[in-house]
Amino acid sequence: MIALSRLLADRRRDAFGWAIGTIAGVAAVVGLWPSVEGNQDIEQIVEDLPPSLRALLGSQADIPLSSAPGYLQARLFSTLLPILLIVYAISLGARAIGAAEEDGTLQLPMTGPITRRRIALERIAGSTVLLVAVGAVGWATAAGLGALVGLPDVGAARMALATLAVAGLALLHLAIAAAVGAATGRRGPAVTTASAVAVGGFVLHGLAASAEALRPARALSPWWWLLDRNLLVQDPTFLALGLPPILATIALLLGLATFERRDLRFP
Amino acid sequence: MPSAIVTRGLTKRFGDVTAVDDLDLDVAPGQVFGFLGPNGAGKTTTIRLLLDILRPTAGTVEVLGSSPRDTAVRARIGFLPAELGLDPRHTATDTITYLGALRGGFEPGDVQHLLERFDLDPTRRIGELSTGNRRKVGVVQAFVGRPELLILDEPTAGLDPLLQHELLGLIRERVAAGATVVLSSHILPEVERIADRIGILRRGRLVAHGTVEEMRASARQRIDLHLGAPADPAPFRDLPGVIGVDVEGAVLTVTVEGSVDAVVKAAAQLEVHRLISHDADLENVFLELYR
Repeated sequence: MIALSRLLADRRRDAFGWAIGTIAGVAAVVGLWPSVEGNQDIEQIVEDLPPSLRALLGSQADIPLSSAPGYLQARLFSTLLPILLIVYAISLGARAIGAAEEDGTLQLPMTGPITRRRIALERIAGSTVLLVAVGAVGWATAAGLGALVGLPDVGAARMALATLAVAGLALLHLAIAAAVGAATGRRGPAVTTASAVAVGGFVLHGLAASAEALRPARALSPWWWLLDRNLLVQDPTFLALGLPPILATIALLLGLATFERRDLRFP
Repeated sequence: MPSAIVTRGLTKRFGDVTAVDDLDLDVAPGQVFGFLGPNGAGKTTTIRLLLDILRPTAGTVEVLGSSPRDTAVRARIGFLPAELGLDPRHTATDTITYLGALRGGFEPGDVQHLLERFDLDPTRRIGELSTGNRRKVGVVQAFVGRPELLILDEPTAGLDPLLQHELLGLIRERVAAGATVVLSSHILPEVERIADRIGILRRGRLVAHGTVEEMRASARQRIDLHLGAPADPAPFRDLPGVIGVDVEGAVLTVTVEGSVDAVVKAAAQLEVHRLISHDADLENVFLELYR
């Protein structure tokens, strides 16, 4: 596990920065809860929003936004946390192989007695550990601060479930970036492809909620998989928890298969 | 004893470009093999094929009796790339320790000895080091662990003459202890000083190979004779080995193939202020032969 621990050591400052950012973001959302509690004006604002925006907020018809589960879902688990974790995941995924090959830092390790598969798996595993750690910091902040401000109807276990679903979605994007990086040896295509999946899925989810004709296409959006249910109060689905890790594994296997066969492109 | 490196029909194409073309190479154990050729001749591509960074389009590569894909084989190779690609945030110690750990560890005393020999401060970050000092880190990581096979791509590039001398000394020591060395360069004198055999690559093909003595015998040199007064070039044209004479004012430029003995003796008859011999530039010395 030498390559894995090296990656963790190299990225620890970076991860620390992301953790601080996540704590600040989550604290801002949870800390505002007392001013939102029972506020009917917010309810009205959400009512007036077009269906696409309501969908992008993860809004559910029967869960009011002025309730704790509705508020946290809209502000934290369908917007802030997924955006933070997906951006971090794409940066981790692109650097796992693509960027490190492009800048040449992988050359000496890879000419040593370690297989391509091993070094790639260790670096992707290390990146996953960092992503999960930042997600866990987000969860711990929400759960801790939630208990402090007295969030009703949302326990730490439910928040853990919602965080897990968000982390799964982010992991899918990490895997796509890592797989494209492994297949091409370049950072640019890795970031572009994973970002296109993130933004494309987000837009598709919004459009599908507003146009009846597009409704079936929402099944293709990872954001719909995440936001179709409010996991803070509703039961988890296979789409929310099971599908993203499976697709992430498939993406990685395809990326690794190419990585093992192709020429490496060092400067 | 089997060869340390054997390639047969080794070919590497990138699209329409053939970087290495039908290369047959044998490097005997305990030998220093010098790869010469201008930039773009295919030296680095060949080295990358020997290390499984690139995969052959055709042909075979065998290193230390096995495929370079075999990690057990790569554990026995020390590699100094032309472009080091070191992480600028790491210190020399971080870098060497990490690469050493991937190889299964090494003697700390061995690293210390090399650091001292190359006068390298191991606590400074790579990003703060000069080009020469970064090359030293590359040299140390390649030699640490006393690998059986050293593959050195442009090893002296960026090192000052003293350190070049130190490195060539280190290579000699390792060879005396049984190591095999493949090094690439575009500087002929450097390779002449150290290599047992030389292979010249041009456009991916091995255009000449042999011992240093064999190559030297067929090498060209250009000698500039700065004379006291303009001289008649005619007597020089007929001397053995001379293939060209140019005159520019009082400077007589003689191009010689093989021994320069006759030219020097003829020049002794004239008033010679300066004598400059150009044999360093590979393009001038060798490649004309194979154009």
